[in-house]
Amino acid sequence: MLGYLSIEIRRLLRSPGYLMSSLAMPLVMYLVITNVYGGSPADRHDTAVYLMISMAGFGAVGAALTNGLSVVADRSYGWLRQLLITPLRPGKVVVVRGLTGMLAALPAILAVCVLGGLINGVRLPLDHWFAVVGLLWLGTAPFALLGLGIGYLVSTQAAQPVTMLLNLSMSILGGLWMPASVFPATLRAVSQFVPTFGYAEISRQIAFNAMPHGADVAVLAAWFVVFAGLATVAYRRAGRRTV
Amino acid sequence: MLNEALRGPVDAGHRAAADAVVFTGVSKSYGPVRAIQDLDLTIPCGQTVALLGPNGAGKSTTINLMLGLFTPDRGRIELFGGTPAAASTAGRVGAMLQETRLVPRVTVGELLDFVRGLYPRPMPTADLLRVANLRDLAGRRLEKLSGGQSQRVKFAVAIAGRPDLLVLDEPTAAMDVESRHEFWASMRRYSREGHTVLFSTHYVEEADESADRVVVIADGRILADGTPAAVRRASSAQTVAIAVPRDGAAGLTRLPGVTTVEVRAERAYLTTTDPDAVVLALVERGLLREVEVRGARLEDAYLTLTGATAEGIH
Repeated sequence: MLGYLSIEIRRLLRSPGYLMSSLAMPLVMYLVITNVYGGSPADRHDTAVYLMISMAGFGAVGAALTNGLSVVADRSYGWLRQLLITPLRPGKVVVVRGLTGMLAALPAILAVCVLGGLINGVRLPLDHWFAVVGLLWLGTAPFALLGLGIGYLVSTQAAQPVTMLLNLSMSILGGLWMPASVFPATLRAVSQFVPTFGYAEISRQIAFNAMPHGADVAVLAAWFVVFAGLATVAYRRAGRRTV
Repeated sequence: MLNEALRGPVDAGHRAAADAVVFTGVSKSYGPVRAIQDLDLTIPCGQTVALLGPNGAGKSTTINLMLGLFTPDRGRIELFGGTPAAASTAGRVGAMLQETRLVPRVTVGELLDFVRGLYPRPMPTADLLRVANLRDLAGRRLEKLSGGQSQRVKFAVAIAGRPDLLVLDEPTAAMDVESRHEFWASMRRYSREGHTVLFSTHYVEEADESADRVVVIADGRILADGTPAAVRRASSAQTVAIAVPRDGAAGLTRLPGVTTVEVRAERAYLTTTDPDAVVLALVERGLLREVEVRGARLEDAYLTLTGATAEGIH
């Protein structure tokens, strides 16, 4: 399994284009949006922290989901069928591919946080920095698995648009682009069940010196289970089709 | 039937405790298209078997079923007495699949090390690179390989785990003549070590030269099964060769009893199951010059069995 992880990490590191493209949108949006808001220095700091987590999360979710598109390529290359006849078990393939998706999400999280600290003047206690970055990273697991599920399940042509659509709709509905508090009441109620909502809320609570809400953790954990099941079932199905 | 008659020399009905491959009454359809019909096939350990047939005969379906990549609609498939999936998990199967490409951004050496690491008793890297003729390419990225080099890497992937059963689906499809020779030499070296090998091909010479046993398949059924010599005998096809008539070879196909006509080096080769009738017809038409009647080549047998035309084989 480590051998498979190592080969997938090499492949990831050798696709700098993909890693870079996951950074551009969140970094630019972070810089632009933060400077739209005014207010007292304390307000401006709160905005910078809030948006730092939103944009780091937006970039990370995008990268973790997009990783699923690389398994679409693996599928059409016949690499999946080749793996299926080796002793490597399907469960391990999904775990390794999921970890690869999480690693792909790391640059966006780090880049937005560095930008927040250096340019937007975000100041947090060191343990909060670690908790925020760590939780933003761990929280990408369900999205990496959802990306895999799509990559294994959806047709080659449809995978990219489906991934894009999910990425945008989850980012907007989960309150990554604008706070869910500005949504109308019904949309706000729906928003709480979108996986990106709890994902970002958990880290925001910590950044603002509070404990994460149990409900947010529970919703995200539930999505993790659902998407893990989806990815595993989809993988088994995918290996048994030709394209 | 022919099929039954040919069974004799190769598997005389005895079933060893664990044959490498056993198909029992296997059928597989894709919608209305019946790819495989009621297939029975037993391959004892250590045999090298060629699955010979025209395109669309059901060779790839048979192989995908054997590897557990497809599930049969009916019938049972066993590898070493267990399911195909169990054989894969135990590291007893290696395969070169058709229509696969190597994934980009990995080097030959990295890929082979990874695959070796998955199997319980892999082949040492140095041996693997030598057998597959890849010593100079270990550091090369997979996307930078030529077609022939890619095939060698795929072969190396298939044997990296030193599998008991090696399955090759049209392995030489993308190779030139020289690479093909080298490839079969590597394959024979591997099979001589006592491993079971099954390969599919539509090149008759490959089956004749590299297999102990030839299974001819067309339209999802086994038409003949035996040693290359037995399959050759099975078809009563013979060749009548004459000098090409002055007005060309075009009329020869219409002679009674002629299956195919092939022209090479000023001579016309007529495949037939009734050489007497053909010779008689040639005499009547005054075309009998420099005649030569020969027993069947495997290719002639194959053509008669599958009812294919000479153009059907490449």
